Amino acid sequence: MFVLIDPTATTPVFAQIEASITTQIATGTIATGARLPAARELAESLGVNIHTVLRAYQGLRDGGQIELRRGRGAVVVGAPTASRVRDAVARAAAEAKSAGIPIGTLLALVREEYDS
Amino acid sequence: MTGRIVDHATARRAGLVAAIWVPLAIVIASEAVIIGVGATGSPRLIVHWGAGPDRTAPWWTYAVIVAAIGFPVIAFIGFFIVRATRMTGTNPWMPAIAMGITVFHALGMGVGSVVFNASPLAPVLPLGGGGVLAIAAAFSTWWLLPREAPASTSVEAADRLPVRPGEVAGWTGKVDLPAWFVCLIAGVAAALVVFGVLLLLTVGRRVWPIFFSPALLLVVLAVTAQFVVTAGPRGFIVRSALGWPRLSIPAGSLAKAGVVQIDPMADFGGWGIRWAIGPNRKGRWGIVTHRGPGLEVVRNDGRSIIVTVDDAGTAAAVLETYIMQRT
Repeated sequence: MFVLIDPTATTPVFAQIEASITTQIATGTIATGARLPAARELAESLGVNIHTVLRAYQGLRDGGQIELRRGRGAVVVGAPTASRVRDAVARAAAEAKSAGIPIGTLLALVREEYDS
Repeated sequence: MTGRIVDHATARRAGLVAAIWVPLAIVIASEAVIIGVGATGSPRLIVHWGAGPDRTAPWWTYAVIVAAIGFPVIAFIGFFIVRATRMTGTNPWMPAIAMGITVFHALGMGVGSVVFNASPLAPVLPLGGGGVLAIAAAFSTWWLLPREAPASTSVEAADRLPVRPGEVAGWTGKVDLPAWFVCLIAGVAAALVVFGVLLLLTVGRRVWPIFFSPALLLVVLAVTAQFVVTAGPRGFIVRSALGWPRLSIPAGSLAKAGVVQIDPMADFGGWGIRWAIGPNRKGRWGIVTHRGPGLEVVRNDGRSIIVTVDDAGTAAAVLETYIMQRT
């Protein structure tokens, strides 16, 4: 599994790891039923603290992307997102960019739509 | 000076002759001498094993020993040399070992013991002389066999990733032994345990050492069933899922990383943790469980390690990124 992070960015590293894995599950790069690397290994490969990775894994569990089972590790339960949804998101992101709307605002709007 | 430099096919043919056909001829000729001399000489011969002052055995014992050691050794080493089509040519240590073992037991322990079978020469002269002859035969085999030229190109370095300053790329992967292979070994171990328990019940407690081999099998299986591989700013790490053995190469000691096509049998003579001489004449370790693309990581001193991970291309690109950042 490949993960790219930017420790100098304003987004916390755990959120970047969480987003990277979520995207890979959504695009099917990481298959449903696959096991994520142990938190220790992922932390070692990126040179970050293990608790950073554990926090990302907890976020993925709360988001319904993975299940954390004792002894079995992190198992992917999320399925690839339909390409229609990804296209719609891409359009929304492009619209927001051209209109100069920051990412936080866009996410808030999406969350509100989703919860309503 | 060692042997001439020839092409791969010629070096391989010479290796096969030295590892299979010459030892076979030596074993058969030794049998002929042992049977010829033994049948006409003393019916009982001095041997170097057993208890008591009078250590003798029927003359045909030596004929049986030479056949019982000779043919399996030739078959065993021959099997690997025949299958390892890409690895014999640059350093013929396998033919040298085959020749050494054959000369020691067929000429020294076999023919020597039958021909020089009287005190005080037996059994020291045949065994000692056989040992000296064996070392000489092994060394001259290694010395005289032609070599193939080292491949001019080694693994091609992967392209580095477009990582911006401040960004960190990490990669994790796994090498699994095929499930059928794990089941096979576990099944063999289970069968040995059942057999051992039966012996324990029928023969008695003294058979307990029979449990050593299934225990060893299971330990080796547990250690090698899965390896975890990571690549990132700290370099390359591969370790058994159990944590040991573990190999870590810091980014500063890495020369190159790339993808190679691996055929475990042809390149390493088998599956699992392997060592072989690579095309650049440097030793390389392999954790090879299947045929196809593998990640080759080359150290600054030319030695390398190959692991057959999925997505080896990404792993190589991540490592190359941190090799380039060093320079």
